Amino acid sequence: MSPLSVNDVLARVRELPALPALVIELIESLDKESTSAEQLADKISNDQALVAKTLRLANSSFYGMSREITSVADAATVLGLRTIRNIAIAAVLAEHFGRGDGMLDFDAFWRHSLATALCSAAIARETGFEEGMAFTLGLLHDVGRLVLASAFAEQFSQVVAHQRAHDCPSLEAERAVLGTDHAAIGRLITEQWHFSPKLVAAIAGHHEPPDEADARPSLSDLVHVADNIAHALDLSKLEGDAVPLLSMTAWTRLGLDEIKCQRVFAQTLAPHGALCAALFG
Amino acid sequence: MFHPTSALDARPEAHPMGRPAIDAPAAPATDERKASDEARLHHLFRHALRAGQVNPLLHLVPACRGASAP
Repeated sequence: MSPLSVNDVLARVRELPALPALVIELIESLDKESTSAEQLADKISNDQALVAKTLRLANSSFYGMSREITSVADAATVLGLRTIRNIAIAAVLAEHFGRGDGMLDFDAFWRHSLATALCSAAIARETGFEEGMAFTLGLLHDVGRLVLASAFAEQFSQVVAHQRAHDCPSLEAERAVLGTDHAAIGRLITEQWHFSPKLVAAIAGHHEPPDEADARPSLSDLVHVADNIAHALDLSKLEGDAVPLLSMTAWTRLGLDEIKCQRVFAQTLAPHGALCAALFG
Repeated sequence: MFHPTSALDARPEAHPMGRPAIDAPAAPATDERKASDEARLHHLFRHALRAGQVNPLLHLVPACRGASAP
């Protein structure tokens, strides 16, 4: 199979349906502190499917509310601005890409993406990164894989066949078959969608964060480690899943000691089931 | 697949009043679950193990489930 060129990918990305305006607005609002809970609740209230998912989460046993939450405004009070925005981004993106019918197990894909999002937010709390940005980054870190499976189904099935035959990491299989990988494709897509350069760089570097030992901790480090933890906690429930190789430089830079790690694990594991059920149940 | 509570059940401190007599036959099942959890962990970390990488998560993840590393 011939390698995928940048032009092949960009041409196909331009054919994909435009990203929903709501997602673009929500992602842009991550950089603005002026967005209020009321403004966000108004935007979400226009999308009935999103309202249902938000209420399902707010009323889930995870939050243990003594009364039923019946409006997005109420849910915003219970869950907080960040969580409401995170749910909205996750729900609209999952809906946008659909469940597919090819070689990618979409349920497992989203379970892993949500786990990485929760873990990224938990690491952000421990290390001083912005939590909302970290959640979105975790959610979208494998968007290149999603687009590969949706827009290059034939090539993607070759990648999966190679991976199964050699039991190698997905990145290695993609490079062997396509001459590129999902991190590079993720960069092209998110640039095309005009995401902030910080998000684009972190998605591009999520398997290979900067190797300089004296560099400052970066969002690439954060999502790289979160991805590793999400695989290690086995939250995708995918039979053939594997923990990718860990960059020890990124791990050291983040400075997660055992106590911080256990908090990160707990904050990833506890809400994962309720969030998956609310969004996809 | 991991069962978050199964590894905890294996700890003596999970039974503050002592292990009840009727619980005795359940011990082999717990051992089986523990072995199954360890096998799954090895499977998940197979690429790192094959590459000779010492990933700290291999020891930290079982600890969060109250089990010891394989």
